[in-house]
Amino acid sequence: MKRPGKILPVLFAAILLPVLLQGCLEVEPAYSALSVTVQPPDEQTGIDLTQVKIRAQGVDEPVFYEMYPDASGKARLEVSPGRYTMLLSALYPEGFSVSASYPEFLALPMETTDFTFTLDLALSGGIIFRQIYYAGSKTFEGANYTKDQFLELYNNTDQVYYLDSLCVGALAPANSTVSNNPWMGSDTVGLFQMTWMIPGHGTDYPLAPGQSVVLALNAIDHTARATSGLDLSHAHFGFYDEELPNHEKHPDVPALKRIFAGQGTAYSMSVHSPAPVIFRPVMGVARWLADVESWQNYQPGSTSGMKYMHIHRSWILDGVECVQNPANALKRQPTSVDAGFIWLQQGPNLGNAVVRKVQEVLPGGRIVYSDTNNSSADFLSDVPAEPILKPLWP
Amino acid sequence: MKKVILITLGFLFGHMQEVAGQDLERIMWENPWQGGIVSAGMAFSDRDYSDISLYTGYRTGEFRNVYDPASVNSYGISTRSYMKLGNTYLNGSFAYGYDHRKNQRWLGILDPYRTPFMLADSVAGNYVLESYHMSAGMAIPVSGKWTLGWQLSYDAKNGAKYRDLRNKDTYMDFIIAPSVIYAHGPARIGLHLYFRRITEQTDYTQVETSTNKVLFLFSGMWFNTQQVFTSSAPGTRLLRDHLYGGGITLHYRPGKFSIYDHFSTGLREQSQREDVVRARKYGDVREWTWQNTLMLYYGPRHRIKADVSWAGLRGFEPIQRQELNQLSRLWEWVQYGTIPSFVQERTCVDINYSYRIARDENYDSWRITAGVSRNLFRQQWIKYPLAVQRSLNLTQVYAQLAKSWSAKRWMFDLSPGISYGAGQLEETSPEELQETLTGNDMGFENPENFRLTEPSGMENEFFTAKRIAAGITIRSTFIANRAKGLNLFAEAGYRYTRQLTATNKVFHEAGLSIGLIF
Repeated sequence: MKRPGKILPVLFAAILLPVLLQGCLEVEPAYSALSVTVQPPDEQTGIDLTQVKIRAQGVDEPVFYEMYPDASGKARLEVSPGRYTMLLSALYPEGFSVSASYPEFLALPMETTDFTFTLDLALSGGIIFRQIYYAGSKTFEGANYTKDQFLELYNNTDQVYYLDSLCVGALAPANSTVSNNPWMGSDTVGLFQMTWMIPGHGTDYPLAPGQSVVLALNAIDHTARATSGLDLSHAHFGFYDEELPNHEKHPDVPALKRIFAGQGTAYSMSVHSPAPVIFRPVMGVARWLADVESWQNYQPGSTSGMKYMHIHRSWILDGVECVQNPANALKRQPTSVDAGFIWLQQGPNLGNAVVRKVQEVLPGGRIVYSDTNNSSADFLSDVPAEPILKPLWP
Repeated sequence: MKKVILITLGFLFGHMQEVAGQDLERIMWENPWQGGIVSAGMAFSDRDYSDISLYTGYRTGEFRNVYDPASVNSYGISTRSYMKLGNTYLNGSFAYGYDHRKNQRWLGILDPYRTPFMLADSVAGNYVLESYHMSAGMAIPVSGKWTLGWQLSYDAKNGAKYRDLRNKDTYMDFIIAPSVIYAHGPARIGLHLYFRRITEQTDYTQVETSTNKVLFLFSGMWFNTQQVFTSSAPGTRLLRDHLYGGGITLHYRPGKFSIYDHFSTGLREQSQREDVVRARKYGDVREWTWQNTLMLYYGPRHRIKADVSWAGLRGFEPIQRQELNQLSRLWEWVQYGTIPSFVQERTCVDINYSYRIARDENYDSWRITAGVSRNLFRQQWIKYPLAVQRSLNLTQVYAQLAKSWSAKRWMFDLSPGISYGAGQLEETSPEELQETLTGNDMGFENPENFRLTEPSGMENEFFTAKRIAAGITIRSTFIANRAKGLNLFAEAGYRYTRQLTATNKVFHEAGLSIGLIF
């Protein structure tokens, strides 16, 4: 054994060791590189690609990385490794927008992943969803209540728009929480069960610039039933069919026409993640419905089970990707329709809706809403539902 | 090891003396091996000691950590024993504790500093914790110079919160530690190894469903993602820790002067996942720890004790996604490595001097202890290319006096103590690391929610605020049978802590125990 006099310095050195070890835990942060090549749409090859925002959106955490490509469409993002979706979008003053997206992918540490996108071209403006109220509220006894759901359409143009024969539905899968979308990447998309149409003979239901029309799933007064306090007995249309025993509608509210029966005894949207669309089949509704062989099919990859009505993505006038949360954000809307997604951060059953942001208020008071075909940028979430129920037609 | 945790608790709750009768304190003064992980060292004390006691305690006040409840009622029973049977030295202990905590929140696991990855909720609710502790140890001298020993310990805890969101915690902790000591003349050298396994399960549920409750998934330093709790949300966690380590102990007693030094180091590896089939993983932890206790004795009256401990933790986020298993046709989480995402360092230094005057071979008439402790706590949260750091330190000076009187078959101990502490906080906002400047912008969807500043501020304040504390312990002992060493005792203590800042928060702790020493 050493003598105490020699041991002591060693022992006191041990006491000082923590001081010497300060800072030795520093770590090298890991990153993943995303190499992105952006190509213009075939219809607009000369657009300025430096306007296209590239956004890698984290799935597990509310983090995002953004940058703009150079004139040749090249960009390189360095991101923290993890799960992401990629969204590309730009709005051009000429009145069109471009977009592209990539579904969930894994960015691995110290690896470079290459992406090549050809942008989709879409016209901006027109008939749009102003408000989507899908999450429901509560009864006064505290139970969940979803019969007060509604959709509000808005004429965002400076021209009168005729709603006659405009179709409304929601894309399949019904919820964004499932593992995969069989229609992913396809030009045709499936409608989840019942599909509806605004009646009329072509000019019965004009919608002036800046006017809204409310489509209520149950067009009745809900004020005595639910905490949302919505009186939808003055809605402009009700989702109603006499064959559906679980639907309710005020007698004065005109009924939408159910054009595809689907399943169930009532029509209802997903309370946490619907993907509603408004569309017009280019060949007309009657011919679309009649061509059963082309448009009524099983889901891609299946030869049995449930049959879905299909539409081409170019028929969609507007659609919104409402998801449960970024971690459960299965993409169903084509990126040309909605390059992003929106979700209710406070959760369902609080009487909250997603509402489009105001872009500008024109002289005279007409409001122009944001419509970049990217709901992440265009919509506000967790807004108390408040439909515009101004009477439109006698 | 456990000592690191005890020191950490001292950091968190203030400097508190462990309640122990004079008999045991004296045994441990004379034989510093006693009560430690090197069980073989029990062989250096021939004195038998056993006690059994009931206790109750109450703590309340505003000057507390963010994880601490508004008040705690504690009840329990404990017993321990050191004895020699023939050539074998044995120890054993058992304890049961029941805590009723009022308005506890943010605490998804029992020790929030064990991992940065924690489920938690913000709703304050009452929480009940039951604790069981069992330990046993043995020392067997196998020759004049060699002694073998082992120590086993098992802890089980069950906790449940009684307000939505309500978490139920199940905790198990097992330690085995073999040891060997070689003694030659005044010199002793001991070696020990240990293996420890901790399992903790957390399960969140809700009873009332008419309102939405938010579950927070923390990733360190109050960064989090939030989700509305539903039956489909991942509300369970299973944490498994494996600790491996060992160390060396030196004891040299050439004459009036003696020196004792105990060094122990180890590695803790923790994994965390959902407590379901085909589970998702939630962050691994790797932590190196070491601690050193140095005691210098001069004669029977003087002792200098220096405790130093250090723990360096790194947290690693898994990179994973769900993939379809082609054989089972089920979606499973597949992991593609991990990335470092969190760093935590804890350094604790405590140096004190004790002076005692013995009244007889079992008891002291005076004991004075004065010392200084310093605790450093550093954390870093990393999300490429950003890093957020905070560094906290707290320095405390303390003094405690113990005076004992004896009157016939009664003995009275009065032990007042006082401490003063002050600390500092250094914290950065998210700032880009110099060496990782990138061409792209990074942002957070909801920066006001992504990092919770209010609880973070409360935690920082508790760690670093200037504070003064004063307490007193009164103990009376009735010597029922001096020949058999049979004593009855009752002990009461109170401690008052005041934060010396504008908010002037206080904290009260009171306790009462009665028991039997035999």
